[in-house]
Amino acid sequence: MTLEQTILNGVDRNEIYRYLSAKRKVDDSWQTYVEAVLEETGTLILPNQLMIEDAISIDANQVKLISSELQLTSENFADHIKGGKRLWIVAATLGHLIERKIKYYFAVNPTRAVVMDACGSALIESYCDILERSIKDAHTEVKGFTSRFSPGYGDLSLTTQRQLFERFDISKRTGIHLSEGDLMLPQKSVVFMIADQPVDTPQSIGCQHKCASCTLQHCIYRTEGM
Amino acid sequence: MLKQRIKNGTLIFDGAMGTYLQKSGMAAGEHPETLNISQPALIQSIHLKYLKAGCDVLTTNTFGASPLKYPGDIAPAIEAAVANAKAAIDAYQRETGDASPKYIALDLGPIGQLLAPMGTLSFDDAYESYRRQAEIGIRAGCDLILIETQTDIYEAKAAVLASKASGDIPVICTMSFETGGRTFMGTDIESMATILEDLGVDALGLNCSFGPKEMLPLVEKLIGETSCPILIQPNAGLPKTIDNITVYDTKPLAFKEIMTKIRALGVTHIGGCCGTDEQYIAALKEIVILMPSPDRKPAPERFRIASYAKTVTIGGCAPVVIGERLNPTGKKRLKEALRQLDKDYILKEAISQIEQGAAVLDLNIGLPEIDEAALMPVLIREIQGIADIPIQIDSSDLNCLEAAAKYYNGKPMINSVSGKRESLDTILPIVKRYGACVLGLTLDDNGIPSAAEARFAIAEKIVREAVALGIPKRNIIIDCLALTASAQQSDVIETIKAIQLVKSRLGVPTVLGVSNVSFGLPYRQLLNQTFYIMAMTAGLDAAIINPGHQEMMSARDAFNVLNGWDEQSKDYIQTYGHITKRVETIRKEAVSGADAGDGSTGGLYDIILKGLKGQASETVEGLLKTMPPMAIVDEIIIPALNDVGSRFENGTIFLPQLIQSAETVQQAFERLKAALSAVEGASISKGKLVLATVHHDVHDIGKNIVKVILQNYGFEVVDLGKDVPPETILEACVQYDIQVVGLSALMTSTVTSMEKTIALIKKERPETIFIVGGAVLNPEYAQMIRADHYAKDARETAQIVQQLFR
Repeated sequence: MTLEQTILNGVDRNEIYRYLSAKRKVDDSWQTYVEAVLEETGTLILPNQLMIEDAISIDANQVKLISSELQLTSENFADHIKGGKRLWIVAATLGHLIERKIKYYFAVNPTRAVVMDACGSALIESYCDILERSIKDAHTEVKGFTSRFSPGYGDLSLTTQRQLFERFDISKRTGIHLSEGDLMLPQKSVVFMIADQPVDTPQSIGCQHKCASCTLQHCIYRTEGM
Repeated sequence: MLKQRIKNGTLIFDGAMGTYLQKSGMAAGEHPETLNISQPALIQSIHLKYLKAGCDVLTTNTFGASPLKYPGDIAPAIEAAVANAKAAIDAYQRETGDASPKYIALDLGPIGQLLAPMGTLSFDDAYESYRRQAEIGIRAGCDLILIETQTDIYEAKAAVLASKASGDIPVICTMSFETGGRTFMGTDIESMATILEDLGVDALGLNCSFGPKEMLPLVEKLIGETSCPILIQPNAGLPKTIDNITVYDTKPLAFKEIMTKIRALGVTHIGGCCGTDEQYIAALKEIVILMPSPDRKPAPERFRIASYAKTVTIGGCAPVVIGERLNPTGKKRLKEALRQLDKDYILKEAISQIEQGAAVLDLNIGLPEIDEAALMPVLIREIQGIADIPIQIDSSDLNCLEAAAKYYNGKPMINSVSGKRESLDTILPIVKRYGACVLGLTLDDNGIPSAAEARFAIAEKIVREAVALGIPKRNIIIDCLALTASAQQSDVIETIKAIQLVKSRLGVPTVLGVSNVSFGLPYRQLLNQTFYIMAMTAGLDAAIINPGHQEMMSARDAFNVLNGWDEQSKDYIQTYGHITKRVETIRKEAVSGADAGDGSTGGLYDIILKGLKGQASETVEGLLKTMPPMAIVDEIIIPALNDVGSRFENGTIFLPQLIQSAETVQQAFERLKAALSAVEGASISKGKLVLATVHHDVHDIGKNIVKVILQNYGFEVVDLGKDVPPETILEACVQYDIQVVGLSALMTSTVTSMEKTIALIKKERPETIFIVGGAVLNPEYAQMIRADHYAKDARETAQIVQQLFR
């Protein structure tokens, strides 16, 4: 199976519907429609990634990547990976074609554009899940792992993004660029980090909707019931 | 001569510099180019290793020496880089006595910023950046320029043009691909080859990304797409970075094995990229000794035009449809759209032609009051921002043609040159400079000759002059010109004869604007269709027609079956197989996909509720017989929209349904606007406002949804797009005299841009009212940044705007 198919197969439909503000099950004709758009979106992906692994030391709000000589400042992040000895940084993207197609549809068929945008978000999540799993599979000696954490979460500033990009030459190696405001282009791109844990952690992959730990109390995507 | 050696001989390029420096202990985060000055001995020692391994070309340590990326002055860094390469060559020749020529390639890596429209860097700035690097490098004494690791063909175009403008030394350009056969920006192998070859590079090829194993299938493809010499520089396999050490998974022996296969395909120039060292280059030297001059099958010569991601071949295949509708002649609505720069309308026209089957779009914006040279690049960029269809630039304004050819992302087709002396002298140099294709008209200073032979003579002259200027014959297409049967009946058949002559004697493809033939006669469709079939039978390769005309497209579909282009009638059966209805509707049905939702019919209110956009226009048509347009808006559309909005709010429907209802209303509005335009002074507009995603924020989906909904309620939206600086928003407020501004931001970090925008505009125009929205905002935050209103979604925005304009 190609990587593109694996990514498509891994998509969580519930995520797509959540991005599309569906509060209840949508009827069959719409489900068929969403599936068709998802399939089309799947043909537009150009997946690319970069993985960095390094030993870390954690001191208060400082996370130091030892060999890479890089220091990240964040209380939330330090707390999230507390006890960890190694850190994996992953940059992943689905390329530019999705974005152009969304713009295309916005000009003639905004409904399809909106659905495609949601499908693209679900696809990049699926890709991240695959990459996260590959790290875990390659390191069976590690007892547990943290969940994913990204620049911009909590007090880990978005400017961390630039630190990582410059240090690891992420633009050249993945094609992801940073805008002036440190946002990633293409938009369907993610940088995430996971660390090892000295204790067993639940073997789940991906976003566990730990919205309760997020400071964005008003986020429209905040999962209820946390 | 180096140019000759690139063309006919072999060159071994060196291996990696960057990864070599990392292995040599370069400090984390250091710019490798600074070492040219601070550690020249280190750089020279790496160069020397490659020379001893057998390379012919040293690449300077200047990959990141772009003035837009490098923190210091680039001149000393580039000069030192060239000096280091020279010193290494001197040392090598002294040490070994080897007097064979060695060359220095000035390395030009990507700038590291995305070009507009996907990013913000302008083509001109990219061009200037490369030009400066090239000029310094040439002055310092480099022998050739190597543009490499490009993923954006648009940036590669800027780099090639800038390099060629800087001096007369060879230019080579290589790009990085993904395993799927496209660069990260979407360019495929065929488009890369088509564009770069005619930009006049001396060699082109692939580098970086992955090892030779993954590159092999891409090289196999590339060999068939170009006759240009090829340079291949793979990595030492796939990289893995652990504890700051990047390891590559292909060893020199395995590298050699696959590079031998690559060489055998006819690749004359080889080298290494990331992770390779002198052992890999020594392996390449062994390959060259064993296989000094590999055979290469010449690639077929074809007329090809390309966008950044799609190439269209004309000639030797099924006839191509060039969509003619983006031409204001006789089109009132398009004229208005061009005057008001109504990009949405122009994009819709482009897309509808694509969906109707156009493979190329003709773009003509000739109106007396329009500055074509300024507007054409803007529209090209808009169309290329959403679609990869190649564009035929249609203008009689020389400045416009030049600007369009320069800024077009790909290999454009220029419409047109004629046999007139002035035309040949002015148009052909532009075609040459920008590696374009050109459409030649068979007319000259004496007009359009009647006889086929005379038209052929003009075609022959155009081809001769173009070839003399260095434009390959494969880049020329001839239009034998359709004359009207009503006025010049006997000349019509001469066009058909001329097509046959051009095809058989000149061997270049032909194109025709078909519908001219029927001017002044009744039932034009029949004449157009018949003439089209006659021309295709005579060998016509492309027609400039309206792809919305069913009879033309159907004739083409049938011709493709009968002429054998449509193998096993696959396309024909797919389009027409299941349909037994009347002819006029079938193709339309076959090519337009069905929307979601049920198919029930009902009143307009119900149609909006269900989002049945295909039925809106017709229903409004019926209603207009008994109701005035504004009553339809106020009594049916607005209440229906409010109903849809409440259903969305209480979760009965989800976002795509809300949008589909909105689209349905837009369809209704199109029909209503037409009705209102008949009544002087009447308008649906309930007010005008500005919408923008704030500076530094690139997320515009929310803003776009708000726009659709607001337009539904009859508001005119000046959409400034995303990443909009505060000053631009202020300018728009002044220009359109606008009091209401909607701002969107997704990221916490960009809410400060929102705050700055509000502060600036409130200072200049205190009466301006701001509505803000976006995932990270809330009412308190909105108040803090002095916004007047917070809206949680598009529906709430519409409610607020309705209140404001009441």
